[in-house]
Amino acid sequence: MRLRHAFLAALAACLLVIAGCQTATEHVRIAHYTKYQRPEAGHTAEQDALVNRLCLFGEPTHAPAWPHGPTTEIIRPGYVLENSATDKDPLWVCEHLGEENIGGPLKRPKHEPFAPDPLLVPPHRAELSDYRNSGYDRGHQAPSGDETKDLNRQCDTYYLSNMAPQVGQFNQHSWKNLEDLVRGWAAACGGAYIITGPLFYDPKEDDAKTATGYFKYKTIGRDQVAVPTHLFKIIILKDKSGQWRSLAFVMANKACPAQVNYKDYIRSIRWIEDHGGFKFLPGLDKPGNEALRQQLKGQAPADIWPAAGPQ
Amino acid sequence: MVQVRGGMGIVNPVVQHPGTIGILATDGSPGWWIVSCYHVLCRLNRAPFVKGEEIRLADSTTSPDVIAHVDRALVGLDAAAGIVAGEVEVLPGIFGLPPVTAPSEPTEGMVVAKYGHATQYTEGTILRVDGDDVWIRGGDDPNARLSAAGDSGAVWVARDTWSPVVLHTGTNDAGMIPYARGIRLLTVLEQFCLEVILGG
Repeated sequence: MRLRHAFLAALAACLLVIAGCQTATEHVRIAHYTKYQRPEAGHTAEQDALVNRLCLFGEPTHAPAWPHGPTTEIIRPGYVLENSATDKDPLWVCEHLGEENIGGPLKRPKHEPFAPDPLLVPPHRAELSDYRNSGYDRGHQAPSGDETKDLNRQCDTYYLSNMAPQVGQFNQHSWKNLEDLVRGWAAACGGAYIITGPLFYDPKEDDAKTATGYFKYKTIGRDQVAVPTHLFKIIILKDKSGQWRSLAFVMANKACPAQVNYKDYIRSIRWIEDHGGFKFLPGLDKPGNEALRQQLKGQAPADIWPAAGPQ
Repeated sequence: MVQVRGGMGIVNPVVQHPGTIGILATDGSPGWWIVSCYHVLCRLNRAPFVKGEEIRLADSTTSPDVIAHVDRALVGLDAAAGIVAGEVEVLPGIFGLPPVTAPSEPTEGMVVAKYGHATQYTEGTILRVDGDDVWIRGGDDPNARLSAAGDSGAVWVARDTWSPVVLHTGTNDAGMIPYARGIRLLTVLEQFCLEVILGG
């Protein structure tokens, strides 16, 4: 009996050593030669109406020659998003804040209904198990706090297609505070269009002396949900004189002080396009819109707007 | 009287996602056929289809009439064909393109053009032919769209002969540039026992 126990203990130790020696890990890579294809049937009339309502100047498109891999568009009454099958994160989420959703009575639900998105087929989506014990929050892109009048629309924000892994301290404080600021501006100005999403970016690539042409990032879970290095949020609204105004932020997905100076995180929309591989507000590409396009996308305000919105 | 022609937008009201009439065809008996994608005429995601379902023009505000009924389907090829309704006038050819000639083989390097419900007239070059699968790349303008949602079902024709060659089924944007994807049209026509109505 003692000999048997010793043998089993030795066997278990051997197995542990072998497991500890394994260094190969599984990763996801875009298949550049593939027979995968996305069908090109058009939107339903209802989907067209939602896209027109939620995506100011059109749905974001991909920048030329930027390989985002297979993606799926998801259209719901509260948001439109594009899900990345390789990252299992949204590329971008478009929403409109206005009388239809902010300033209502709904609070954050006590039992938050996080769920994988039923409109996405495994393995093209994040699962609940991917986030379990990962050390990251399920970070809303279109916040649940933006939907305070319709319970179905609030529940829709809890699909994992609307989430990206976020550092908890960042998600629960400085990012949340930015979401509150944005709702305040939307309320003050009669509505606002918002585009939110993850970014994968290393500041060393902005300097030729430090750029290496590659960077590292993390993934979580069996489905390798990509942890973004940064998050962006773009706000576009009309000021008191009826002029379109824009303000955009890029914040690192890491712990930071609860109180930050948001002025330090302002970027132009063009900067986000260049670092994310998108073209936002594509409707502004039509001839005659050059001035508005440059004003909204090419320039970054020097400071954030006051609580009452831009004057 | 309602008229139909290749290149026009169509929708199955049950599917609700519009696409394009690829080409008009005949099986030798009285009556005409439209050819398009399975995911336009029948069902998305390869779900089983219902024979006889109505097909309407996509712009139903001006024409709510039924223009065809779904009859034949090849889910593996993502192709389907419908019988044109009796009171509909069939025009040969494809909207926006010169008269079509007899269908032929797609070949690598062939310059092709299509007229689709979403992006209308666009041109590309056949990059690869692998069995029935065809890849088409766009031109040098990186901002030009080769195809978009709503173009499914359009037929690519060889630009030098106006011979129909490929049924457009989707896009593959997994690489550095988006490709249009399609199926060898001759395979679809052979399987459906249909012949293209020439001219236009």
